[in-house]
Amino acid sequence: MGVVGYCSFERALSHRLLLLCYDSITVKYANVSVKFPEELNQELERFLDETGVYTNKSEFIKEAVRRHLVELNNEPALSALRIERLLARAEQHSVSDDELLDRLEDLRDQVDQAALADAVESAREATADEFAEQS
Amino acid sequence: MKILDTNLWVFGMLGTNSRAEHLLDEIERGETVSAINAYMLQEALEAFDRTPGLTPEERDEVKTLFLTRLTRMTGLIEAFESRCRRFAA
Repeated sequence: MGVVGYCSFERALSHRLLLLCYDSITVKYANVSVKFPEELNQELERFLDETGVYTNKSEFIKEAVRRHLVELNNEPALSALRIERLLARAEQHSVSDDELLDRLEDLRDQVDQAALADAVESAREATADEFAEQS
Repeated sequence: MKILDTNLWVFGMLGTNSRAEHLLDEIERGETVSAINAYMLQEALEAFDRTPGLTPEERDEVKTLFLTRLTRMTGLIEAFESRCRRFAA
């Protein structure tokens, strides 16, 4: 049982390494400099030394940021804040009515109409899930 | 007052459904009174985020154009801000 567990862990780890290799080949990277409290940095380095789950500190931070973003994006209060800001920006939008409709017409031509209904259905599910989690 | 389903808002903006387009035009001119709550607004924005055939930048543009159009619709009632606050509560 323990061996099976270990093997599946190894498989998951090698799969993860493959994904990371693929990631590093296809994704463009930005260099970001972040100030860390020393204690947190030491704690992180100790974790990486002890587990070896992440190939380096950068991979750990990248994944932590990604997870935090997903978490925040699923927060209904932040969705509301985003909508409010988008509306405030929209009210300041200087485009004329004719320009607005012309641009929508252009974009409409690019849309895959057959798949638009699926996009709405998928949006309904995502929004319902978000609210179900909240309640 | 006509409460439109999210489908109608999305298809009225980006689709080829003439009924949906006609309804939005009527609301725009104030010939039809309608309201949209923040939940449906969220659904519509999520749908634009998933619209096939558009780049991420174009999807952002569609969302801005959609919201801009909403803020100019004479027949659309209720202040957006108050709806958003209720949505967040």
